[in-house]
Amino acid sequence: MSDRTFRLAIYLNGFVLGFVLMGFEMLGSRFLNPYFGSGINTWAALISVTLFALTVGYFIGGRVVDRWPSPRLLGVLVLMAAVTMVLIVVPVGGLDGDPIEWEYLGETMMIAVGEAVPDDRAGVTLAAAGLIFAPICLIACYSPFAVRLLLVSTDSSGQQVGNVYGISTFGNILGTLATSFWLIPSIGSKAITLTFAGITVLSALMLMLMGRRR
Amino acid sequence: MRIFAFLIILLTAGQAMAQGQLLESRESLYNNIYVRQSGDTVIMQFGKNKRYWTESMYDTTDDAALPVNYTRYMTAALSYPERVGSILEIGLGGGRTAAYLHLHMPEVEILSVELDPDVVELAEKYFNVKTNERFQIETRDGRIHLVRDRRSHDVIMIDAYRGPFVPFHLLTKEFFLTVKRRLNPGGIVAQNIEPSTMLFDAALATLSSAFEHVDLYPAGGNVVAIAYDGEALAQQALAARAEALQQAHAFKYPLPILLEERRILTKPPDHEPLIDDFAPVEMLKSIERHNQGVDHISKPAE
Repeated sequence: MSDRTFRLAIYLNGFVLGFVLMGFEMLGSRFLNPYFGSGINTWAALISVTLFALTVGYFIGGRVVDRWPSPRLLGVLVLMAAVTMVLIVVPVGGLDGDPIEWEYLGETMMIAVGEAVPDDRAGVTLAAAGLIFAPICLIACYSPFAVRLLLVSTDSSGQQVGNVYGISTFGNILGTLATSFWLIPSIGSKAITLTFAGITVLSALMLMLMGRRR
Repeated sequence: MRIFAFLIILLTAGQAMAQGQLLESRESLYNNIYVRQSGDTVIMQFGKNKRYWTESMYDTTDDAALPVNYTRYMTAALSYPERVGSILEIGLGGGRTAAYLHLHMPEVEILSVELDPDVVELAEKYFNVKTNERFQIETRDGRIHLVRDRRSHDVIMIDAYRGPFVPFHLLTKEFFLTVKRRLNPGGIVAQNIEPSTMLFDAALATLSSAFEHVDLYPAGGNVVAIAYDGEALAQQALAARAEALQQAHAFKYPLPILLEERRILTKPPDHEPLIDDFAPVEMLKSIERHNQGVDHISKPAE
């Protein structure tokens, strides 16, 4: 794979995964609201869990890529992110024998957390972690991976790092807006989750098929 | 386009003029709250930048008065259950509806659940709301309360607005099924609905998807919907209960008179019920439209 194609592919996936990451955080509110309300506590939980997942993902991603600087391994991590998204909406049964919609695994988790944790703030934070920590942490591995895979010389390393962060953050912005203003009013939360998982799988496949750069 | 329409409606919808003397304003966790006094009336409003939504009004000269018209019709719900021993209110506001019920029916257990602790404080400070063992206030999200607290009630009144919006998780089929699990046999739910947008059709369709019968009380700007299961209640039977309750409790706004405004929803609006998975309430609220629900109501047979 040529150097230029390689770089473009890394940027493109950074954009797409940035989109999915923030879109998924916004979507998390729709899952949490029925069980934990729509107040400031829910947003505090979502935002802090997202940032914590990024913290952990950056640390882990950096260490892993130093050991195994392979786009294929990055693809595997991204694929795992998609799997953890799908897990949230796996059907597990009906609601009180009156299934208007199938109960999904994320819902079972939120009900269990709500019953086990008497404090609403602790409850919503734990439930937010259960929903969004794993996929966001895995996607967060992308940035340090991308930087390491792109860097060949120190001449342009500042620009390369800047591009990775700038492009993925621009994806974050569009993911936030498109999810809130367009996707949530258009299709259901579970359908959005599966859409994000599908996009993430495509990104993972692309990364796994990328050869080493020449 | 939708986003644009949404912005326009935010700029124009449902505002009230700022009137009277400001007693106190607070920026709470959830709202900007203003308490004003105009003559003998104390008003609680939520809002920002000179756009205010009136949440509650209190006539300081008359503890039994309900100056906001639709809140009188919320009390029409009392005639529906066979007995009224316990009332749950979701959304306290200034607390006047709950205080009115407690004043007239001191033996009934009344629990009001309010999300915003500052709203509770201001209701107690300016709206003469005094709790005791039969009139209690809990500070919590309404749906969390219904899920966690397994006590059941004869009447559940829902009036939870944040400015012009109802939080979506208080307007879905799953929410109303949770409400239903907290109703005693023969219990009923009453809900205040603002009727000018698509949200009205959606709310009626959702209520109809969870309950067998829905009655409507057009009440000066707002509509009070009362939903219940079981046999359809004949007007005569309701009138007899209203009369008996009126004799026993001497309500300031007589139940038999409120009952005259009863309309029966004969066919739910042609709209998908809102569900937890898909409930775009902010968008529906922004779409102003003729409401189908009002085409399918009839006066009850005498």
